[in-house]
Amino acid sequence: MNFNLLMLLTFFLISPIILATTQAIAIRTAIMLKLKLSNLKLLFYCILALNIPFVVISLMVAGEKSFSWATLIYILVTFNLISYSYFILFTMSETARRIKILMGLYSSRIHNINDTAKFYDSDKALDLRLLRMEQLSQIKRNLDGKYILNSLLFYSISILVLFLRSLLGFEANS
Amino acid sequence: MISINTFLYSFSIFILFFIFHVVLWRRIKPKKHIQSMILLFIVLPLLLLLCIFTVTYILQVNLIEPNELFLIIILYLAIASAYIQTYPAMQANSPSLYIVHLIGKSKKGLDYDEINRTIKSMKLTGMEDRINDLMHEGLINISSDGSMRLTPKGSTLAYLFIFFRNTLLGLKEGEG
Repeated sequence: MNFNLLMLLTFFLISPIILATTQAIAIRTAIMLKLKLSNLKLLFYCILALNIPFVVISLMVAGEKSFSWATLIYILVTFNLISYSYFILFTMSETARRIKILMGLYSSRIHNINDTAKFYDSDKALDLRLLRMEQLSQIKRNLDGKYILNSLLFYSISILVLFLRSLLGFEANS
Repeated sequence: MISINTFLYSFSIFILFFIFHVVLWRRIKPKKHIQSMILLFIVLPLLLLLCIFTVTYILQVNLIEPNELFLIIILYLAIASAYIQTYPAMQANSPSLYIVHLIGKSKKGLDYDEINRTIKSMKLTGMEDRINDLMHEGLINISSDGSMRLTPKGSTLAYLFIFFRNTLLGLKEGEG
């Protein structure tokens, strides 16, 4: 394996650490500046912003003699797939019920199955999810106070996810 | 260094194992979802790639260059990782995505009560199925009296998430 390739692969492998560090700095900066941005939106902006330096540095590290579209597309696709995985990981830490149960058990706030109802308020969960989707500009309220779509992004993902669920044979309501 | 073949190999391997995934899941849905996904999308494809490379190397057939193999592996792992990370939302029927889907399908929009009624009737924000998932994955044990305990694996995972959010990112626990 040549040195440039080794450097490029190493750079990709440490990209989640670079992302996490950037996010950590962004969160602390947002708190200091009292910016009212949701954690997910802030991470989304971090990923968008990191694309440019990541591509530039990767192209330099790749060390190719002339510009190659294949290299650029490879870097963009790979970095954004890695970023997507990191985004989902962070979203799980924010919203996933399974992670919440694990953390509740670890910190001894849950001991028994009956504790989960008190620990996780299902009514509040809907409010949080609606608020989160509004903060991510995916939904909004119209003049009648009803929720409508504000973006096709998550809606498209929801169609894909439901399609994959049916393809994999999951029950419609499980 | 990077050619169209890099993309072709990476995506073709993913599509191949995705087909296995669909066939297997429709026949025998595994209880240990995440371990099965890692085996199917990480371990087996890497073994396949190494076998292909080894055989072509021995037969002196110039199918994949050594440098290109590493690029294929990295791109493939990025694709597989993205899919594996998306899988829990599919398996658990993510309430957030379903809410967006409900709202998107409705032409006139939905008010809070309509959304709440639908979500409650489907028990999308319930905990029972998620507790069962954790048990099947070997992350928690549940005694006959309903008491729950973390297994060593569950404890490690919980600690990593707490460290990630609290120490690394300086955030409180997620609200769910």
